[in-house]
Amino acid sequence: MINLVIGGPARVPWAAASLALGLSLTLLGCDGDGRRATEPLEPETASLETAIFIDGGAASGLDAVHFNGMSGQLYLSEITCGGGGFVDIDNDGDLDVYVSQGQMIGPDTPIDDALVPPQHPLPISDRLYRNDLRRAADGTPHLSFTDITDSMGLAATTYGCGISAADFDNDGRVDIFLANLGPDQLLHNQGPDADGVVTFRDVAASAGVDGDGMSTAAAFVDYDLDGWLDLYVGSYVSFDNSGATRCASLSGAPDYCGPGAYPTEPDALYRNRGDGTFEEVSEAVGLRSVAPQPALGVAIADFDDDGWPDIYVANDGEPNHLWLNHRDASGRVRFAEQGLLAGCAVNGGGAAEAGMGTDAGDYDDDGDFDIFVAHLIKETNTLYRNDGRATFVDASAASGLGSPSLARTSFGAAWLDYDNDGWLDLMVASGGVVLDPELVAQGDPFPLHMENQLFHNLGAGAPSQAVPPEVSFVEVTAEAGDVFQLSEVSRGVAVGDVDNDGDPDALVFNNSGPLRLLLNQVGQNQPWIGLRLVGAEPSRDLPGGEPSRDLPGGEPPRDLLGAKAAILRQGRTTRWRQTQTAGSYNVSGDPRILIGLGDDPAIEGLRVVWPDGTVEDWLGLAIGRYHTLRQGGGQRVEAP
Amino acid sequence: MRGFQKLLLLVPLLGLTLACGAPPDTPQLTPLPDLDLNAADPAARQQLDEQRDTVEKLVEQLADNLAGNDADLGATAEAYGDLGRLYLTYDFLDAAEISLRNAQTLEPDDYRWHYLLAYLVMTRGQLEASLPDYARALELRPDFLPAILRLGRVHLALGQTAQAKQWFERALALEPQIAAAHEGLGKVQVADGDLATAVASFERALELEPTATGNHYALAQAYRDLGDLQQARRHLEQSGDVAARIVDPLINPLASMALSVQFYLVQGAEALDDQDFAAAVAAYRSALQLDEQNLPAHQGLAVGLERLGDLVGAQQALFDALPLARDDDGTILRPEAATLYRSLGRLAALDGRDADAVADYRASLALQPEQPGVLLRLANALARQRQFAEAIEHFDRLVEISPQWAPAVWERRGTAWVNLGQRQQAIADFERAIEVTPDDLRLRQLYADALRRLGDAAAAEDQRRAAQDLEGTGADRAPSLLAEARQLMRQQDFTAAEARLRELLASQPDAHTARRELADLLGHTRRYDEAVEEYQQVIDAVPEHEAARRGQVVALVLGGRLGEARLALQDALRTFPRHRGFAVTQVRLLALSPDPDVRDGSLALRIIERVHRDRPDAQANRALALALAAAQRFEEAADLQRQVLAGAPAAAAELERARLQAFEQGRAWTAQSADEILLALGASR
Repeated sequence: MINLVIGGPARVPWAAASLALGLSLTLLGCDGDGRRATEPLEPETASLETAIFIDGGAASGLDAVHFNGMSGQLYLSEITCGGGGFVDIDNDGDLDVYVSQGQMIGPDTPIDDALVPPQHPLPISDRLYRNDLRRAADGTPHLSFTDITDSMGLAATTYGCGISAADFDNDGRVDIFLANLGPDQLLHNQGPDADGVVTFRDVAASAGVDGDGMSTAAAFVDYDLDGWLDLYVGSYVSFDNSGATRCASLSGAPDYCGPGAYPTEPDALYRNRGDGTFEEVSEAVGLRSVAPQPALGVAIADFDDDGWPDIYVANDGEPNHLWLNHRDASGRVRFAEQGLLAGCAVNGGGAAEAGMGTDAGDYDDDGDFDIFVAHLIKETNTLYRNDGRATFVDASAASGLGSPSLARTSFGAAWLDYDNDGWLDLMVASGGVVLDPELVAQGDPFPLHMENQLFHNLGAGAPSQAVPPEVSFVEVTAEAGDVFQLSEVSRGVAVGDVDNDGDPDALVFNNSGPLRLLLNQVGQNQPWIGLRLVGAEPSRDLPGGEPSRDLPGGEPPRDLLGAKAAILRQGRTTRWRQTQTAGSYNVSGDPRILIGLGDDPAIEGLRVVWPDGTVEDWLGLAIGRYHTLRQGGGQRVEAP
Repeated sequence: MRGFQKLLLLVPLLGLTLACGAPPDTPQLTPLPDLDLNAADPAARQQLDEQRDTVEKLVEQLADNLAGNDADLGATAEAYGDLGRLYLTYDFLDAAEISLRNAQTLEPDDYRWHYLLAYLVMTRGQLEASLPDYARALELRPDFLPAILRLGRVHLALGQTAQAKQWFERALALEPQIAAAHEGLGKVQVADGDLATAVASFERALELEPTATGNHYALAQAYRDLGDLQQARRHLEQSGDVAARIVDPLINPLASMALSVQFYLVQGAEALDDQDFAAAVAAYRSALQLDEQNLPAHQGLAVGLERLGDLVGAQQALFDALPLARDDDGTILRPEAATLYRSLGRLAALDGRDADAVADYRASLALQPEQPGVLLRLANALARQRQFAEAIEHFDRLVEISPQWAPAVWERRGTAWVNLGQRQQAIADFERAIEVTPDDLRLRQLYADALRRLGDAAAAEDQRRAAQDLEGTGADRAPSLLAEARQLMRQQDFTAAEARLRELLASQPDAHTARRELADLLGHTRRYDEAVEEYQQVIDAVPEHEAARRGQVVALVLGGRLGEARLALQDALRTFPRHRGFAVTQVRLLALSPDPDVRDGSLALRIIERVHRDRPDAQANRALALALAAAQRFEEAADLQRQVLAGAPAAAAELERARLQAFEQGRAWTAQSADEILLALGASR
């Protein structure tokens, strides 16, 4: 693809209405010292509607509004980003929220050139919100957030795209990797200071993970199973902000460029040395065996069920990569790119699609991890069904997930069992990447907006014409709540149980728009069980639904990303879920596992497969609460 | 008054007027939305405005005619339909829908409006909603194959395989040789778990349409699931994303309706991606006819011409572009100039002018110092000039700024060290390269050769044995060899690319894609005769291999073998009797050939008259004028050529005027370059 050059663009500013909304939220929400001071929200009673989700962001103090720095130059990067995630930074058992922010783009572009001024005080930086969740005597959760950006100890003022959160140095505190347009950052969680305030320090340079470029997808994964989390960083393109690269719509009007207008940059895999530093091993493990592609999404799972975590990378307009983790003859880790033969590099028609966000989950409950990839308008989103051992089939049409996506450009995509019926449903966030000519003609200030979607998994009993019967989905966007009727430019979706009530809530990160907190109104009414799978320490159950702040012996061991759990029923396992923060788009999710039991609350126990391959059972666990399961604390069983 | 405001007034009037003199179900038209086209290409804007004005006038006339009559309704419907198609082309889908619904309102029994509406709604992704209009179109015209096939595909996309199967079977009952129907049935059979039957369906689709490479992917998947990994890999190696075509007289012409530079730029870029270089050249030339100052069009044209082997034409396109890459004061080069110099360097390197290549690459790097690809090519060119020390400096710089390029550098830098007699550095580089790709046969052979030259016969023998051990696995390496060859071609390392392709073909002689790519490579490096032979092998094995046939024609014409080109086109037209590209190219060859034995004006005329009947567009007009002149019918030729000249953009006017002058003087026109003959080969696809 070559660069297309056209004349200077002409852009219109944001509508006053959306600007005023964001501004009023900021003004109303600030007290004297700039922190948010809002009334706690009662998530489950905040709406009398029967909506599946309500937007509880602004009311709970989560008032972040994304700034993308657009100045009329139509830079691709300004519409690519929008992420953040759920991160329990203070180990108090509830999920805090990190939000990436953009900056002005282009050489010496002043803030005055921004078509939409920033909604937060200057300098523009990422935002961090502390979750001050509390429970009433009757157990009702009261959710409120406090903006603690100013106290976090640094200003994350590089153009942020997304994050990945995990405890990379095994100190029991969750750290945050920032995938940036520009040098990446690694925020090391310093723990509470003398005043009890958690602070961070950027250690990217000393740790060796400060890669420069346009990083998008990032994921922590212990690929070599040495007990230290390594880091995969996907790179999109070598973005050019000189203004030289210009693109146009079919009628010749100025428009955003696609990735083909820029050179691609290779992804990177950093091995954690265990001493606070990383070494780039991309070449040594085989990641340079194929040409670099514009990566936008990363999902981690053991797709071929060989005990080693694999890496799936969704590439924009190019074949996706499935990096299967193998050993060579000398026992060294080698990743082999097997996407094409495995059937998950291109769609069933053989076409590479515009891979954006991606997520791995066992939607059909057959014990392996399937892959969903969000795509561009006029392409279907694609569901790659894993038929075991990383052999995939394009099940988009048969599952009913294909055609509803044709009219949307989707980015964030996340599996979640919103109704706790035991089957993974799907949330998809959308927003365009080329200007809709008719919205432009109507004077729309940011003509990329679309509605997000929610799909309900009908489970194995669904009627279908396919043979064998397909697990299929039905779109329930219309019933999902008013927040799904909004037309916004959405990017990342992060899933987490923010009010610890036993159902998955979600953050939707909008580009140049307000962060949405989607509070689940239905899942908590069904039976469920929640798990936190952590490293070896004495086993300890946490009080119902409210994990403890201070565990004996200091901070708790870290979440063992990649550990899998399933429920045991009549001696059989079902509903496999994994501990994971990666997936979706530009976000980091709740590492805890939630398993809905709506189909049958009678369970014998849980089986956990730890990353090192050991298997343990826990019997007689109470449902309706979270349990912290430590490796070694269960009943050891022989690996099947 | 702009059309929209005026129409707002007219439409209620029309409804009232028709209501007075017509039955109670008087058609009501929907006002067209206002569209701000200020940012659009002037040509596109003018095209849309003119068509809208046409609609407006007809609606006015209709309103004036209180009684109304079928002729008025028909003409207005037609105008709305044309406007709808234009909007559809430019992606103004809401405006397109209103236009087409108005056409449908005025002519409810015309299948075209239902069909186009269904297509539009389908394009929006509303598959279910498209079904009623498709069904209505088929009620009105039951044998309309495109609607049947699209219905099959819509049901397939909805997961409704039983319905999809019915439509594909109905298509085959009407026309058994439709690849799209076999392809669709194959997908239904896969969904039903009947893989063996699906294989047969996909293979039949490929027999009928070898360019529908998506069927190779489907076959690969089916064979994989049947446990035949060897066949799966074989098909993966040939797989692509092209679905079987639906020959659609209502939709296919949309691609030639647009008049925006951007439209042609997109077409050109897509054609380049598809390696359809003749089509890319045609698209970029069309863009330049609208805007001769368009830098990307010049760049794209250069790429297309280069890939067609026309290095001189490519170079000229880049020279034309260079002045455009200067700022207003004419002195400072814009960043695009770096790309132009880079391309000039590639052309010089291809042409064996390494000194020029070095100069051009340096000019490119002076503007943009951190271009890894240019650094690599500069170092390669320097090495070919035996300036090894300087080459090594650039290799080092490349690894410094882009460590991921290190594997590509090591073997080249190692070779440079060998030439400088630096044993230790050479071995270090080769060892590093082998550590990364221990199974690379060619690298082992290269290393063995290097060690021999460094006087280490024993170590060389070890590497030779290691290479021999790897040789047995040639068939397994086919996909990676092809990928390597493509990568090397992108890096302009044609010698190494050719070696990879020949290695692949040695183990898999029936790898047609690899052989066709080898032929492309040979043509690209001006070894036209060899290219023709390789294309012929592909055509012998797969007579329907359209790309091979086109490549062969290009190689024959560029190689000056015009008589054989005529025969090749004749043969191609027997296989693809409705292929407009082959037909028009044959006409141009017969009309313009400098070889009198090849020239045949009356045959050219017979062919182009058929083409012109099907679609009398500008391309057909130009070819018809040439054929008329070649058939000595100069007066008619001149008349038509005047029309051609009147519609010719500035960039083409000089050539068209010269042709007119020749016709007026009673002279036929003779091609000045191979490009004049080949121009149309891809243009009509």
